[in-house]
Amino acid sequence: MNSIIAIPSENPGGLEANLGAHFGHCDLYTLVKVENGQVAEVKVIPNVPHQQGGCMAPVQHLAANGVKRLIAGGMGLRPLMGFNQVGIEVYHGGEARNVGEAVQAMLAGRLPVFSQEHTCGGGGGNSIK
Amino acid sequence: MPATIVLVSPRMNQWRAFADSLAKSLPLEIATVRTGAEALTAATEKKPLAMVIDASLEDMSGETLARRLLGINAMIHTALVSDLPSEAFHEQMEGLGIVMQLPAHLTTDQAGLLAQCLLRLTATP
Repeated sequence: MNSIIAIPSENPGGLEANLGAHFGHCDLYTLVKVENGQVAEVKVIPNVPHQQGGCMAPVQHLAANGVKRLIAGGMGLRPLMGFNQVGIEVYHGGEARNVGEAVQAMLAGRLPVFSQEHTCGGGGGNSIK
Repeated sequence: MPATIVLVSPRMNQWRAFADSLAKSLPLEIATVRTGAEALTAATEKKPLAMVIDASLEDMSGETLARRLLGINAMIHTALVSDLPSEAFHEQMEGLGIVMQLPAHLTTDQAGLLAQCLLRLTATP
């Protein structure tokens, strides 16, 4: 796997940082560049200010930074569909305790794809029909 | 090509002042449709900046349309007419990314507020 993975994180970011509970409201994003299945580079970028209905701003922000995968603990249906639309695969962070664990779990193939059932307010009978 | 806003309602005659005010506030084309099916087609063909959706359409609820639009183009901003109390609206629509709740009776005031909202959302950072 060669790609950039974004992980919503608490300050100060980095592999030891806690995961941000909800992607749109996180402090910042830790970007992990993976080459040949190994962590090659780690950097941190700020989140964009959150405003009602402005959930596409972080989607476009991450896409502009070359992100191809995102690990998230929670998000709404609209940003999930937005990520899918711009070609960013979203995975559910599961029980990972920090950014590093989440990345290793992804590289090991243990993270489920983030589905509509995982979304805040979505899932079940409220999914897209 | 100017951006497009699609107004979706079976009672467009009541939205005329709102539509005219919106057109004056923003450099965009206003398109109108009556049904959810027409709105979904417009979403694909016109790639609008935003849609203003009435609470109840002939073929589906406004909420259902807002959800189905996400499967076509999640970048379309949506404003939805609803008579739910604000807190209940936010809870029921959680995750849909709706930019504004609108009252059943739309006026030029709501047009101004929506225009300001869309300008904020589309401003280059």
